[in-house]
Amino acid sequence: MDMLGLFFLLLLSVIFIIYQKPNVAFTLGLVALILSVLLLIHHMTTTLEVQL
Amino acid sequence: MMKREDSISLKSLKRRNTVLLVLEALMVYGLMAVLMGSFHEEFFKHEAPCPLCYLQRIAFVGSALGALMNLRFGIKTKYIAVSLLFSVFGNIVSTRQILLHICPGMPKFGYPVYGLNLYTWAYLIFAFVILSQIILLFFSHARLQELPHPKLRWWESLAFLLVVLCTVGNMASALIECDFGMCQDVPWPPTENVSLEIKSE
Repeated sequence: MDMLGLFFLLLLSVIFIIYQKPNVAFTLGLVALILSVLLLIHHMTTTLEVQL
Repeated sequence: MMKREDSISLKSLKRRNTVLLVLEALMVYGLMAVLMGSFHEEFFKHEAPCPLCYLQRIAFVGSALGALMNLRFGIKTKYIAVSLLFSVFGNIVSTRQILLHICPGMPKFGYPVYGLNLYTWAYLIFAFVILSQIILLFFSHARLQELPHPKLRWWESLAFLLVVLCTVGNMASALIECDFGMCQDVPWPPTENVSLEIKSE
């Protein structure tokens, strides 16, 4: 669901660009970026747990 | 005389705008070609993507997203910032994966392509995207934002189509690999079923 949701957000953002809603597309893009960063942090912490 | 100078500068601005838009479209084509290459690795060489690979693919689509905004709404610094942020994020993710796999006792993930692993290629491509966006910033002008943007041309529409197709393809891939749950680490190499976890001795 994590990756699927992020790709869905990006797809929504592209659709909003096509339908000329720059602010919505921009906000969705930034939300996708923030969620991706959180997912990376989650992955890093779980890998660290495995290593420890 | 003043009017003539204005008209010349406007003409050069329009030319510069067109050149920058063509470069942005080329960048989108390049990024989508990389994603199609990863689809080839996934479906024809049966190399299942790991969570970090998906995050890199998200960064590729995100970098293209900023370029698409530039193509649709005209060149603005905030759209270039979107591309830059996503490519920096992608660079961090690929650096993380490179560092994971250079540890002693850790196998390399995936088959090498032209001597390098896919995450190393991703690192180089993200570095190139960052550089290209910085060059774009150098050549962008505040008055470019005031220019009226014409209707989408065929090569701009093609860039949109490619991004939509690649994103839908990635959604399908994520659905097949991870179902509706969280994506898990993939064992590599697949035949020997070797775990990626570091074994404490």
